[in-house]
This record gives sequence, C-alpha cells and structure tokens, in this order.
Amino acid sequence: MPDKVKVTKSSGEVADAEIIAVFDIADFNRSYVIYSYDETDPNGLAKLHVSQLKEEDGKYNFIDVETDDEWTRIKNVMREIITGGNA
Amino acid sequence: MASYEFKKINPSMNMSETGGKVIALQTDGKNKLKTAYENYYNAEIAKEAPAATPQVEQPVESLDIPAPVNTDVVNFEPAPANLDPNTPIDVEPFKIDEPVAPVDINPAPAAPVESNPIPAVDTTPSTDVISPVEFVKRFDDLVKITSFDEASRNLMRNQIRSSVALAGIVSDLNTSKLETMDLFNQVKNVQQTMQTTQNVVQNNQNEASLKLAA
Repeated sequence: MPDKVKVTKSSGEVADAEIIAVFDIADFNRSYVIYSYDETDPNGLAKLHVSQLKEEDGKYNFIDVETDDEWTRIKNVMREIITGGNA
Repeated sequence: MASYEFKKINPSMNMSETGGKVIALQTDGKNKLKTAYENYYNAEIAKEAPAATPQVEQPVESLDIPAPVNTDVVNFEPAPANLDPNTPIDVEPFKIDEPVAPVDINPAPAAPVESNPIPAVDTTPSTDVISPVEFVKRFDDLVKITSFDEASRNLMRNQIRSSVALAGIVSDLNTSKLETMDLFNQVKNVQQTMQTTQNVVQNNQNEASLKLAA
C-alpha cells in the first residue's frame, strides 16, 4: 500500500498525499480516488478529497466529479466500506 | 450486491489534481476506509508476487540398529577416594653396595635319562578265525552302511553266500569230512543259492525296466 504519493495541484504545487481508497463504479464505468493531504476541518474532522481518476498518457489525472448522482453514489460507497460492506 | 470494486493504482506514476470534492469524516471513518483498501491492495500484491518454491521436506529415515546382545560390561574400578595426589609414594631405593653372590658356571651333571621301552608287539598268529557264517554277517553289516539300493545289496549278499558255501565244500573235501551224499547235498544247496542269485538279478532288471518305462 503506497503511503504517500506526490500530487501536483492545479496551482502547480506538489503536495504529499495519502491514498485512502481507489475504486470503480461499474454503473458509471469510471474510477474514483479518495485521498488526503492530512488536513482537518475546524470541527476536527479529517478532510478527504474525492476525484474522478483518469489515466492518460502514462499519468493519473484527478478530475472533478461531474454529476450529483455520481457524488451521491460515491458517498454511498464510502458508507458501505466504513460500515463493513465489501466489494 | 457490491456497488463498487477496489482498484489498484501504480503509485510511481505522476498524479495531477485538477478538480474534485472535499468531504469531512471522523478519523475513525477515514481509518476504516484506508484499512479496507489496504487489505485489498496487499492481497493483490501477494497475488502478483512470484510463488515461492515450496520446500519439500525430505523424509528422514531412521536407521534401527539393534542393540548388541551379550555385551560384556566392563567395570572400571574407580580410583580410591582417599587417593591424594600430594601424598608421596614410598619407593625403596636400590642398594648398590650390596655384595653380589658369585655365579657358579659349572654345569650340573645331567640326570640319567629314563628309557621308555616300547612294549613288544605280539606277533603270535591269531587263532580268532571267523566262521563263514560270521563272515557273511559282517559282510551284511558292511553292505548295510553302503549306499547300494536294496536289490544290489541282496545280489551281493547272495553271491558272497554262494562263494562261502563253495569254499566250505572245498575245505571239507580237503579234510575228507564229506561223504558222497553230503557232497551232493552241499552242491545242491549251492545250486539253489545260485538260482536265488539269478532270480534276484532278474528281479532287479525287471524293476529297472519298469522304472525306465515309468
């Protein structure tokens, strides 16, 4: 399991990120990545970043989740994993 | 039904972030997400790893060596417990000034040698002459211990008996012990004996023929 990866942000900044999970949702025929910059919000919760994962030209692109439906499905997958569901 | 499927990524590839969403989770939720994915990821890595060559454990044979029987047990006598290596041992020194007795080099007279006389051999002719009947008996005994078969043994026995009978007749004639009638009877007996011998020979031949035919 990779501990840390280097992610180049849109600002050009390269930051260490921690890969939390990567999964496919077959209904959308897309892959998604959950990662963390080890940040917390004001309430002390862990901030996680969720992006659509696209592999192009030998590199990964973390792009935006396009629809609300996708986003809802992603959150449901996260709940499923946390509550002990399995792939 | 599972609505997702974990996917393994290559962490060495370049990663660029152009967009996405942010969500806040309790640390416990984050850890559970990560642990679930780690389990999947490590299992995939294990699948891709070359299978280690299984080490086949060679069976080890045990060699049973029977314990020797009738083995003498050697009992070494233990050293005396009170043996003190520091205790001096009394050694009687040689007495070099003691006079030595002269040696008598004259040879002692030899003792007379007793002669062991060899007893004289009795050369007197033995009068123990066996009779013809005894001779036949001894011959029978001799024949019994040989490896002849029964038929051959009977044949030889009868021939000897005939010869002895003839010898007896000749001897009696020489000593004029036989009358004419006696001589006739003796010859008749010899003839009967010879006939018996011939019968035995014939029987032996018949038996041999039968064995060959069988």
